[in-house]
Amino acid sequence: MLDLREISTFTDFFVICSGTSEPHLKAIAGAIESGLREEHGVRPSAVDGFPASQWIVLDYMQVIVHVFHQERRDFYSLEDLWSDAPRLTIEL
Amino acid sequence: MGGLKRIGIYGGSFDPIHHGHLILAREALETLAFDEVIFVLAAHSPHKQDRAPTPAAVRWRMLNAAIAGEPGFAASRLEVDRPPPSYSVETVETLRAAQPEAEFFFLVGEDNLPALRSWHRFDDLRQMVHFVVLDRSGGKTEYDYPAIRRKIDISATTIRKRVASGQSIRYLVPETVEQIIRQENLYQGTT
Repeated sequence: MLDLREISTFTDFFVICSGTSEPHLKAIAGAIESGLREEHGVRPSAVDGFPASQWIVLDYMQVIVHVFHQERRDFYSLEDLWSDAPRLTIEL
Repeated sequence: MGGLKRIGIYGGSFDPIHHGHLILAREALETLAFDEVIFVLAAHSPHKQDRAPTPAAVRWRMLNAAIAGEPGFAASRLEVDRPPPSYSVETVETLRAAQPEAEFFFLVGEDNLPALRSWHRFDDLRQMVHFVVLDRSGGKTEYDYPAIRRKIDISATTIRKRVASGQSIRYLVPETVEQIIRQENLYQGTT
């Protein structure tokens, strides 16, 4: 998780995670979407990408969730792009 | 013009950013009285690669090194934050949402002009921005939009080729950009 509060005007946090296959990406994104909807009543303002693009974005305004295919996570390397952002680890 | 903030949007892959980009952006800023030019870094598609892709993070560092300390120049990671393809109209919508009071100008290279009308949601885009042509060809073509004309014979392709063949790129890019190109060993395989 990246803390963008001091850096970005568009959002506060990026949550970045990865899956190992396209069905896996779909399952992760689906679970996040339904979990947040059912337990907290929030819906994403936008969903970008799709499993075949190997990068799905769930936009919850202050929090943006990026679900990558493992092999694409390095290519896009958001952690490097936002290397000026403090990193937070989420305890599950 | 009133008190509206005037913002130029300059998109590109900036691989690498060079003095041609910077000279034209500065000239657009001065000629059209922009308060700010935002350089929007474009995503590279992972699918069509004719050469080793320069990671967005490295292009971002070069871009920032190039504009550091330059009043009126800013950079945006907006398009590299999202899965490609990026559409200009969506980029403009996001930038506008952040500064709804501003007037936006979209800088477009003369080589992209013929395709402009076929852009995704072009009719929406033209409602939101004024187009400005950046013409570095040296030609005298008449445009439907205001044009910044300056013949500049610097291109990213030439720079990559020069690096690959061991020729100097000094005076073509800012020194800080050249340092990053050397550190990261960029463009070695370019043919």
